[in-house]
Amino acid sequence: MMKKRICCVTVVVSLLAILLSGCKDRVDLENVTLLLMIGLDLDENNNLMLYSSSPVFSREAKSKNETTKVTALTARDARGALEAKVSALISIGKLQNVLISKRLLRHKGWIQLLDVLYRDSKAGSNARLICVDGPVEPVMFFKPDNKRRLPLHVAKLVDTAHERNLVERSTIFEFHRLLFDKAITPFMTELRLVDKEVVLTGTALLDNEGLYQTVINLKENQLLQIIQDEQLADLSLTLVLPNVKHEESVFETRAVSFYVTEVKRKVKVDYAQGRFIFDIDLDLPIHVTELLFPFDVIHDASKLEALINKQMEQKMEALIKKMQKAAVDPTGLGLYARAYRYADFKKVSEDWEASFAKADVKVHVRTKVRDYGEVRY
Amino acid sequence: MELYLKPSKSNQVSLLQYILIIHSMQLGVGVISLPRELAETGGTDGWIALFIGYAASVTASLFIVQIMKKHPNGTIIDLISRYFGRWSGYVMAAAFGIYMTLYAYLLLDRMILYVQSWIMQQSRTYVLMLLFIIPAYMIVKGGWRALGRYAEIVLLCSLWMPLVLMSLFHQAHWLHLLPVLKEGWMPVISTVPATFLAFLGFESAFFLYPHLTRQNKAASGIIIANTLTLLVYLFVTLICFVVFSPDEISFYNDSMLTLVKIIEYRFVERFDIVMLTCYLLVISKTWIPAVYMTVYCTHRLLPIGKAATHLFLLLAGMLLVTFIWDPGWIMNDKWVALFTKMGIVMAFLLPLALWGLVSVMSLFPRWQK
Repeated sequence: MMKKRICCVTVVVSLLAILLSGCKDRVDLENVTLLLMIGLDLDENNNLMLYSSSPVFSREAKSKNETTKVTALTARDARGALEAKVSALISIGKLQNVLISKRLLRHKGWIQLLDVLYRDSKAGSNARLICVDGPVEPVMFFKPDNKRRLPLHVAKLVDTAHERNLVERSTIFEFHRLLFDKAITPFMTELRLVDKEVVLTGTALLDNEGLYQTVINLKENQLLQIIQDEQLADLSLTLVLPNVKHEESVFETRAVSFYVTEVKRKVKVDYAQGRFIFDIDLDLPIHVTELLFPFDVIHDASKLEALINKQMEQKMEALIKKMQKAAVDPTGLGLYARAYRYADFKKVSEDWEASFAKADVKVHVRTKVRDYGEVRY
Repeated sequence: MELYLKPSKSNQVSLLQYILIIHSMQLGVGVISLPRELAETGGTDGWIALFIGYAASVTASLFIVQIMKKHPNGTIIDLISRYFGRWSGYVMAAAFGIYMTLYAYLLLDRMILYVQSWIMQQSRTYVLMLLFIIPAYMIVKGGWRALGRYAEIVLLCSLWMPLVLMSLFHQAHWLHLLPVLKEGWMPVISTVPATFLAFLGFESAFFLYPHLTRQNKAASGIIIANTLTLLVYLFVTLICFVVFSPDEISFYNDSMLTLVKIIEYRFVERFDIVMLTCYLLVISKTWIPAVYMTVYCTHRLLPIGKAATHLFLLLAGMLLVTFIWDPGWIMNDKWVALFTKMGIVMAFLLPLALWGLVSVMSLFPRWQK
């Protein structure tokens, strides 16, 4: 019995000795450089430039971030060059943002640069893809002294702005879905460095090959998220109503602001004379939060609603025209076309954007004043 | 502790354990890549094929139970020996031995490949295999009862997984599923073979039946097991279909893990690694019973030495094969495709043929003992 036990223990110990040397995947945290943000750009000779930003956990270091710049053949190829510069081994599991310059987005085939992020199972898929209006380098090397680490600041900025419906947010995973889905075109957050501040400027709209087409600003993006039925946290709109009674002043006194507390969307799809016809019905309960002109909301609520409806419909139709002109469709209407008009959609699925550009999109907004605030004037 | 292969008081299983062993042999590696396989041929209607696969597997399962009722105290090998003679029994034992060896080896290898691709790219296959083989040896040594208890514990340990997956529904695009049957029935029909592999595992009833305490409930038990499997498959497939776009789903090898990758909590990122690590338990219970059945068959063929020695040699052999051959994903896929063909014969066609033969033979007074 004793003999057997000694035998067992010997076997276990020797097995452990073999096994522990067999696991080569052990990496100590001290030896890892966590890439939180990478930037992709082209220099003036169209060589691929890759920037990386990672946190420094050393007390002696003056700066909180370690930012590096290398030229490389591909994103993965840059790893060697980066590891020769940064203090430890690169890991992309904690990646938060991928900054890509607008210039690079206009070149065919840039999507292949992202291949490593999908193919390597170690890469995280929740990193935000962000388009930079202008060169990436100043953004990457930007050190705001009143903010936390830039990669985390940018990530937070994008998340909260998206929560407020000001910009669209496209993670690596989401971007893949938008890119491959034939019925919708991809988009990503756009930012710019404006004297000592990172500012979100809107949403970049790309075509189905990922090429940059146009940009919509924060206000247009709010409308787009209503059309998409993607309204998230409080959505506050300010509209200028033309032809209401108001007092001329240096200030704008025709404005009304309100919360849209929920979006009830109904989409009807039809197909006639070789083009799709979309009827979008939007039911929006609103809470008025600001009214700069004298108006009797209590008795004339429906009049105010009519004015607001007309304004919103105009703005939305202008936005849709803009997208049709650029031949992009981030609205998700294509999904409806595929779901309810499959036979017609299938014929045009290879070039849905062209069909969308020709489509007749009608928007009907029906707002309902639920609350006009605390004062009765 | 000694490994006994004959039915006795010490290795009986309760009805719940019987249900869970069969269900757990079915549910394993399949879930991870099943949504992609269904989408490849069936598009967004691939999930409908699951019902057809389910109907086929329930039918085959009921045939198995009907056959085993003719000889309730022995396994399929005993039954064949009794009806068709000793040599047929040997042939059957050899066939099931090969089948179960492939079952155990391919699924174990696939599980290790998952660990390698997702968690430990740099580690050697045989090293990882060694880690899994030691607990497998200990469980199989306990016989059917230990396997049943293991299945029970693993089920309890994996109950949280569907709840976590449910959090993905807020990213769902239900429009992807419309229109139902957009291309007619043809894509659905051509997807059915892919579901056969997913439902394989109910053939373990051939060996488990004599150990069941309440044999009158065997038929309903096996239906419950199949239904459980169907529900899990349907749940995961539908989640994948509504979150992924129909145009991209076939580009991801392991749809379920890729999906779990996007789940994020404040305290843990990369949830896929946590999920896969826990899911290894679920996968392990597919091939561990197969190892037991292989040992049963080899011991019937070569009744030399203890069953535990057979088990040890079998596991050591698997390790050696991995050390020498070391199949990668492409090789493993090829072999699994072959194995599926064999599985269709052993699990779907064999019960049907046997049931026909045995029913006819039962009409003669000689077999009505």
